[in-house]
Amino acid sequence: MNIYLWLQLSLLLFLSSALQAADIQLSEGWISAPLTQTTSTVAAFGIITNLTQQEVSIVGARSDYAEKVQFHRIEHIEGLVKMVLVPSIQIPPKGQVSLTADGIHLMLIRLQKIPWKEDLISIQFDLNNGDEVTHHYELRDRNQTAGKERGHH
Amino acid sequence: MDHNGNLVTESTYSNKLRLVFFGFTRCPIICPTTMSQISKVMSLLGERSHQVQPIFISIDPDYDTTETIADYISVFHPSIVGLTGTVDQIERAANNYNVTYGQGPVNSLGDAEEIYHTSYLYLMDRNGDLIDLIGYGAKPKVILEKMKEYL
Repeated sequence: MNIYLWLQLSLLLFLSSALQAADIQLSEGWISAPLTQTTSTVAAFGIITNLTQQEVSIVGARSDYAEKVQFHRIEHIEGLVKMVLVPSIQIPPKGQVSLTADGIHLMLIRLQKIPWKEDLISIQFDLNNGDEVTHHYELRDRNQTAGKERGHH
Repeated sequence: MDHNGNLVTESTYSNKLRLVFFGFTRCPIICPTTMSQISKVMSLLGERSHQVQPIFISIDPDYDTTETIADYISVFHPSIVGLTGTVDQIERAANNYNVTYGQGPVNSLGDAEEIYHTSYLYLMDRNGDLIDLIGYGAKPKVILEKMKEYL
């Protein structure tokens, strides 16, 4: 293969990949403010939108603020609440997934540092195509958003 | 044992109605939501709040020390007491209330695939008998309504 053609193809692949990462967007992203200075786990909410024509999976997540970042799903079964680990989430083409308190949401587990009022908390997501996308979540007081965090789904 | 390190028994709060909730301080959504609802109920009760004892019982005794619980409940209504104990003591208390809690299998990364616990609020009378089970998410006014005739 001609070296120029190879470079052009590589560039095209890179741009296509970068475009996909840019096209996975977050809106209304927020993290519940820790209750106290000893809080070890907080949850993150928002809407993740896939602007591409292909289904995209998020297969991993991490943040400097926590030892682990995981997707969890809440299930209510006759007075029992289950918090179920979700290994990956799929976002349909031109679709979105809402992260809510009563459905799937993000958990920042074993906080490494306590987020503070003006902090914008970055979470890096690993996509199924090997790309990475970073979203920024603002900190909100739980009481200010108690109504909003429910009923999104 | 309460969050101040005092030993408690079934009779400790026998002169009061009790609102009992089993949870754990590391629970980031269900437990603080319920604790906030309890706090609102206590505020709505106003002068009658002294007739009611809200109780948080930790199902995570390995992590929830008296200090951790004291710190946790400090952000909610001041009348709430937090209880912890040994694994056996917690298990006995949970059995008395027919409370279920635990975790599913642990995956290769060391993470539990699920964690579960009963999410009911238990409304108990002054004798410690169950008046009502209140489901997760009940509005404070609904909880208050259930308590009214016992105040």
